[in-house]
Amino acid sequence: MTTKRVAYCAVLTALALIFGYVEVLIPFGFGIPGVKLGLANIVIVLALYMLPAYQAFMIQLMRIVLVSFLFGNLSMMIYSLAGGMLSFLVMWLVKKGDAFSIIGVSIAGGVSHNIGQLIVAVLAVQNLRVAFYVPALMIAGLVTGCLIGLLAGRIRPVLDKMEL
Amino acid sequence: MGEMTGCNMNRAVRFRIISAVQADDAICTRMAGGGYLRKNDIILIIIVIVAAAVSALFIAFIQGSDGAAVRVTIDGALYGEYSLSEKQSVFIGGESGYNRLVIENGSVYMSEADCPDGYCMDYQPISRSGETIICLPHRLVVEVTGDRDAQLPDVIVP
Repeated sequence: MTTKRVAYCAVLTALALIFGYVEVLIPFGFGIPGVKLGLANIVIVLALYMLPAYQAFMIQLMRIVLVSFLFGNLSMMIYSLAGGMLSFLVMWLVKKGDAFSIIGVSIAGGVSHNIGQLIVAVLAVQNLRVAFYVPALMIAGLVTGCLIGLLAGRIRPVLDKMEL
Repeated sequence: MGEMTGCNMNRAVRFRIISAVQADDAICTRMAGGGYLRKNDIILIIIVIVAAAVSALFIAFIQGSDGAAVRVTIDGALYGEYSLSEKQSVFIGGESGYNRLVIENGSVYMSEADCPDGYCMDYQPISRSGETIICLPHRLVVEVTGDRDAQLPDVIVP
């Protein structure tokens, strides 16, 4: 891991933070609690394709922890971590076989992110009725995953020309 | 080698071509995993939609008839139960903050809450058995229970 790579990972982490902050400006998911654009996942998905998995994982972990420390609270961190870790694991697995395009990987990530958060919500209130949101959140994850995947897919060829 | 249209080639063909033409045409290696929808992606999308539809149907099936009472739990523990037929305003004071429920016209909604996101106040009034209003920051669940139209026995013979 070169100094250059360390700096690059830091830049990506910062970028993910900014994405997470800016996406608040774009109204999305009217009425359904917990639906976000998840723009920061553009960075994570691209990192999965450009960097070794463990470095992409560190970016994901760092950005979630930092956002929670800076703008959130412990409770928010638990939900974000649950969604983020599951999402990363699923994306890593889905990417491995090279059976899906970056869009497919991103969709899998989006859906699993929401499912992860739902699982924690069910455990937090100890009421299975929270699962009422499964269909809506799955579709939301599908749509945002598609969008993020499309964007990342367009960006990737440009970044490939860079030497990391 | 046949037609090469971008990366619509299947994997096997693509890899063979790359090894033969490695110097130029690195475009394909770059585009690999790029923004081109593959058949497996479509399958994945369909699976997600079907799963969402199935779970939606399942949930709608569980959803009951008009409810009779409202059960409030915090952290899974029962806080109180209130009848849907009595017009009332319920103040719920928990450790993390307060919520105020309003019960009228056989339905219940959240009128006030001091939670950070305020999602619980966005809900439309609920009235059907199984429906819920959830305030996640306060770990509060408001659930409609019972059956308003349940027939009481006319006579109980000991």
